[in-house]
Amino acid sequence: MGVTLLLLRSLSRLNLLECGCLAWLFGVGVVSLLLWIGGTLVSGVILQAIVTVACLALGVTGWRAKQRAGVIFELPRPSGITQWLLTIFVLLEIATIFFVSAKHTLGWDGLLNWEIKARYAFVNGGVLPVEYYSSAGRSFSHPEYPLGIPLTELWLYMWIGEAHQFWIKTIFPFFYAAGACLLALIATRISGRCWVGLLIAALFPFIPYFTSGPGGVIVGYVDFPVSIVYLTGLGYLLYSLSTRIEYPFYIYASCLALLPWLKQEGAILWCVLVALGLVVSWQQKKVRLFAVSILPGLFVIISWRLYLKLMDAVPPTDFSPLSVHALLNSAHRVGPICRTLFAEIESTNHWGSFWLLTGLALLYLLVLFRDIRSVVLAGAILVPVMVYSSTYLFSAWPSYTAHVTASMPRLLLHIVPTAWLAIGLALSFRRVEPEKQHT
Amino acid sequence: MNWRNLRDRLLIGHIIVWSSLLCLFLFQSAPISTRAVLENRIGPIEANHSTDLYLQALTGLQNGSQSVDESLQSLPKGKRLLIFVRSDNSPSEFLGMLIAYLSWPRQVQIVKLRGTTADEEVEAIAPASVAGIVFCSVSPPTWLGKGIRLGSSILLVPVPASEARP
Repeated sequence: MGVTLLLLRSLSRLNLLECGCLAWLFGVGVVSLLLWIGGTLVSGVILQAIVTVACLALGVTGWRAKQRAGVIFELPRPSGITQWLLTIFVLLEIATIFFVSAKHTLGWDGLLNWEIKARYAFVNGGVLPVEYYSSAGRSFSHPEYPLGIPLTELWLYMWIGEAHQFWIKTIFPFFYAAGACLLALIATRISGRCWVGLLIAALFPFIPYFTSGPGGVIVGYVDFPVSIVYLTGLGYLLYSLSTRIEYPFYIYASCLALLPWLKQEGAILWCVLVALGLVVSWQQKKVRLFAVSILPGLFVIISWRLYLKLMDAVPPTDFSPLSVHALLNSAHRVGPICRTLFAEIESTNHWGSFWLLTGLALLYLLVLFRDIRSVVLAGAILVPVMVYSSTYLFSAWPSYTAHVTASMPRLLLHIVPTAWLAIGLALSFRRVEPEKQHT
Repeated sequence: MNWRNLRDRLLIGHIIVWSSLLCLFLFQSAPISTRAVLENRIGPIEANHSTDLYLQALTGLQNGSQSVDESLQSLPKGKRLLIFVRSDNSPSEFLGMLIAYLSWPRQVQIVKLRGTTADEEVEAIAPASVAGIVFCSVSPPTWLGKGIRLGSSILLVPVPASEARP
């Protein structure tokens, strides 16, 4: 909360809902980064105490900054029967996601890639043991994956006093709740219509993959949190197009720092958001602010790489090293990769007709609207899909099509909230003039 | 709203198209999502909730995490655990990973086999460095002797027993 209050202190009125959602996302980032950095020096109760004190200090600093600036909280209220009904529906859906999460086990990756790190760190006094990084026998759990979510799970373990596979699942519905609210808020701001935001937030969980796919919201995978951070970063970047105040850029920068800390593919999304940020900042003449905003993410990427080198981590084996030779050798894969991608997009069991809606929304953005906001939003959907698909050219799996089939649905999940945002903008059927946007 | 007005015609078309598509989306997706909401039940609220349920589903072993942990505790300390799995069988691979997950801080080595037997691979083991061998949906060599059976698909053979050669 402290970080959020510090970032939003330039506003005279704070949306309590927005604050809460951002506080969850940035709280995850701050706690996990503090545990990682603190864990290099101390462990056990001392580590827990240091992180607690640092979080409290941030909270107090943020609160004081808010008091000094005379900022007041306010809770947005729906107006009219439609908005009230949609709001109630969204709240019921959030409750349902909590309920469904409690009924399912952690998924394969949720358990063996993410929770495993939290568990081993917990039994080792809050620090992931050095031997884990170099353990070839446990390379299946990808020791090279970043620790954003495992250390958040560890934080819960430290407070409940045991590694608990049931309670750990409660973390992920919070990401859903924050994501649904932020989607509604961002879509409302960008489209200029509250009902659009609420409608897409209400439709959001109906994507079958969320609740029945092997990597959705309820099985402890990191892909959904990544998708929410990506949406938030992009949403505030788009919002910065229509306002002179700088806080949307700070939120964008914070999300940029979080993305590579959650998942390796977060570095790809980081690159995409940086490229889009450059376009926006160039247009807004905020290039200096942009240059500063990419530094935290860059720091996270570089320091994690260095740390892995220092720990002598087992190198990943899913992909072969990038080279022109490997690229030329795998050129024949382009056709099968595209076919598998399209087969996945057409899978109604995973997505219903969601990608059809997205395709139509992209048509609206690129053909009807054609403003910078639409182009940036379309780029944020299309570029990650293209880059993700290209990575399979370097797949080292015995069957690269099996690799695509196994992981593509989860990678597509990263852009789902952003695609909903595009659908919302298309639904509103108007180009919003910057001056008319909600503040 | 006027049909002769181009903007209004576009708006009506827009409303019809999006209403139809959103209804189609809900019609296709809602039944699948509803099924996911209705299936399973909450609990048990236990520390090893997921690993227990997986071990029970794949091997029929009740309270599996604790059973596996207790069996592994009986093995000599400081030596690695060898886990044989079938590369063509996802449940076998998954069981191997679960055993590796539960056996921390012991060093593990997962050996993927193309077939269902591991005779040659077991013969090649240097017993001095191995605390035990786990077979996940893999048949152990007949000469290896009895081990600890953990459910229907996991067999743990402590090393003293496996030192026997054919």
